[in-house]
Amino acid sequence: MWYTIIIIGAITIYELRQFIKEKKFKDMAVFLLVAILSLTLGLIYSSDPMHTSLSHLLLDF
Amino acid sequence: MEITGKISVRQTFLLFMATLLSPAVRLFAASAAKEAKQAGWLSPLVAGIALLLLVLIIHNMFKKYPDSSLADMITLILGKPLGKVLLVLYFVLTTILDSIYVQYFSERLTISIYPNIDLHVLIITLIVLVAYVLHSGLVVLARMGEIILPLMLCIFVLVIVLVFPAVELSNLTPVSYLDVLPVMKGSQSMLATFSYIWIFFFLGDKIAGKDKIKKTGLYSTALIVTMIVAMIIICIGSLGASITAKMPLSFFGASKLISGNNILERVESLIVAMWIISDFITVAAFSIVSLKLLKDIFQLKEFKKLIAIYMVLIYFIGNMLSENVFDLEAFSDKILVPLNIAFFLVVPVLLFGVGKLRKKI
Repeated sequence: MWYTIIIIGAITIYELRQFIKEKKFKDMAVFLLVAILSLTLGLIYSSDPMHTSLSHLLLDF
Repeated sequence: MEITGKISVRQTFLLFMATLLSPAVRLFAASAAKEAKQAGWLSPLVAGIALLLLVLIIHNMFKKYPDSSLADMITLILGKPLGKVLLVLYFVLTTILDSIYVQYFSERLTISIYPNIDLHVLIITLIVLVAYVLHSGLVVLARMGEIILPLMLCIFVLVIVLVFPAVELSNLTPVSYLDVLPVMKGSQSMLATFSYIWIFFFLGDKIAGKDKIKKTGLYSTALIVTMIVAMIIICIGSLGASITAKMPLSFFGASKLISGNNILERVESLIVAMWIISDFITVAAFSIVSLKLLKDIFQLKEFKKLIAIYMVLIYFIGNMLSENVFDLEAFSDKILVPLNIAFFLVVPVLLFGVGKLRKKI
């Protein structure tokens, strides 16, 4: 779990600095959207890597 | 990334062909043999007709707007709100496909040659390499495809020629009118994969010389159909329809039949090399298309800074989608194949129809 947070955090900090420097706030918002989505999925996956897969759930449904 | 420079229509079709090789090795022969038995080698002809139709649709769409991308045309035909919704759906589907290919890459390597390696090592290696290439841009990827694809085709032809002596005509006949429906059913996986050509034209504004789509598309379709028919003939012809249908990697299995009196052995390793390259190109190409879609949806200036975080997203989606290779195959067969056909084949036909009715195309 910590690896997920550290990696996504590091990428986010690095890229956010660039966005702010170049004043690309719209691009920054989209980046944050993808980062939050990645973090959410990453935390769900890291909390239980042996989870029932999404494909399994979809096929059962 | 502001994609610098443009690629040619020929390079686009070469990239498309490179993406076909991996599913061809994995899927085509088995699905054709499962549905159409000994007549499975006719299934690529049905999918070829659909590919031709798609090429003609793309050609006609770009005739009026040669400098646009498909995203521009979709918003023009459907209007901005509906167009954006469709583009978001395309983004989601392309991202899922991208994740699935990353998973397939690692699963196949562990099944075939690296049984003791952790999947995550292979996935992370692929993702890091793809991210590195994406920073170089579309032109570099297209040139890479231009150099690598002829080599891949040589390997493909070599395997087909060497396995050919093992083909038994009795495994490929009889074929009658009763096989028409099974042949059509057997072409589903090919239809789903051939329709990937639609995805590549989301990069339309970065493709030069679009007046050549029809001609290049016709040649490419002929080459693709010939190669896939030959591949299925050697799989069903040498292994038989029932074994081909049950074998997870039938082309790989058929290549193991090659034996040249201890001079030419273990040719299957060439196929492994071929599909690793094909998967790499597929993941890289689909990532560029997904990021380009994201750029078009939100009208961003560039997407270079999104590459790293997008690759992380791909990694987690892939891991959450499947537990094992059986999950992956079931998900591909039952969910992705119909979705691909719907979004990359049926929707383009409908879009073209609506565009014509609204006199936008």
